[in-house]
Amino acid sequence: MGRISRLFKHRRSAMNARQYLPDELLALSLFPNLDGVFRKTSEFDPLYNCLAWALGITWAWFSHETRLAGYYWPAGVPREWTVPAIQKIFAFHGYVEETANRDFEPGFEKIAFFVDSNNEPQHFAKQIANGKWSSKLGQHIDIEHENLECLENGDYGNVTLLLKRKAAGSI
Amino acid sequence: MQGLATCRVLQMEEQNSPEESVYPRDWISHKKPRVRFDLAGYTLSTPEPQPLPDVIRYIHALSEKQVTLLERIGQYSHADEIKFERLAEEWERATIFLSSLTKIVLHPAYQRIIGMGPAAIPLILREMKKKPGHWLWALDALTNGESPASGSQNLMEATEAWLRWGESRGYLNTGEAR
Repeated sequence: MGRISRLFKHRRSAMNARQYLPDELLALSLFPNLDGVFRKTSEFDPLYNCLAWALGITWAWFSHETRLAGYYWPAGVPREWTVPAIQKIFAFHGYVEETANRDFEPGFEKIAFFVDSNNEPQHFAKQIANGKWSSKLGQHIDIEHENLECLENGDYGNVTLLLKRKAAGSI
Repeated sequence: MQGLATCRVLQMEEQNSPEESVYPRDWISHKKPRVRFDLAGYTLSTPEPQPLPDVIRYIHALSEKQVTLLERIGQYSHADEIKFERLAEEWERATIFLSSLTKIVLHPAYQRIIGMGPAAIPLILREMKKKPGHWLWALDALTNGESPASGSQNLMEATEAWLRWGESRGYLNTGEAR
């Protein structure tokens, strides 16, 4: 390919590139692998975190800290931010079965645990009806993303656990 | 000052006396005079130095000691606001994608805000009024465990309770709380 055509190719790429919203650009700054595989589905909201969103809750921020009012932690669950404790929370909501299959299975809903190198949970994503995944990025926006890999190998660590349950209304 | 220096060079050119001029012969043809302002001594570096007017010397001194003057006349609140805004911005930028409250409140910038002491309380409350945030930990630490938000079911309720508390204690002007 000649020099001139190479320059033109770059211009074409720039013109066809998707125009990201400012919130999306902020997400891309930390998770560059999201490029081309995600879209924003809500505005910035510090009132709920990824754990709440994975359970379908938008009115509470889940925190095991006992001293502060304004945060929520289910009764009967050890007050610790660990995989076993949070796994118990999901068990209350029917996510009991573990799986290694990241693919969409009709009739099932899945939750992915992102864990860092210290085995500390950092993020939770849920699979939605169209087979894609939905995540709440901390205090930032909700996003819909094609796969789990686009959030791995970064600040959220990697997926070490997948839980599934039968979808509501499924046989 | 530049105008005075230019006039000085023009005078010398008119004299057409190289032995009296402080400029080399080849500089006479230059339009810009080679004059340097010695601000420390407030004089022009010419054979016949002219002192700068007092107003210029005052402005120069003020620009070097502005922050110190602000401290001397007791404008601590302004300095605190600047410090808080910088720390809050740093904290928000670093923790916006975190879901663990422990990690959010243990960020160094957040801890430095707590380290500002009671002076940070009205600043935090004003920030909470703009938008809810995870300031409850800081307020709890700065108020020695006062808990006006006890019983709150979520962050919004707790934020509103703290804003009402702030208004009752005079940290917020009446009408600023929601």
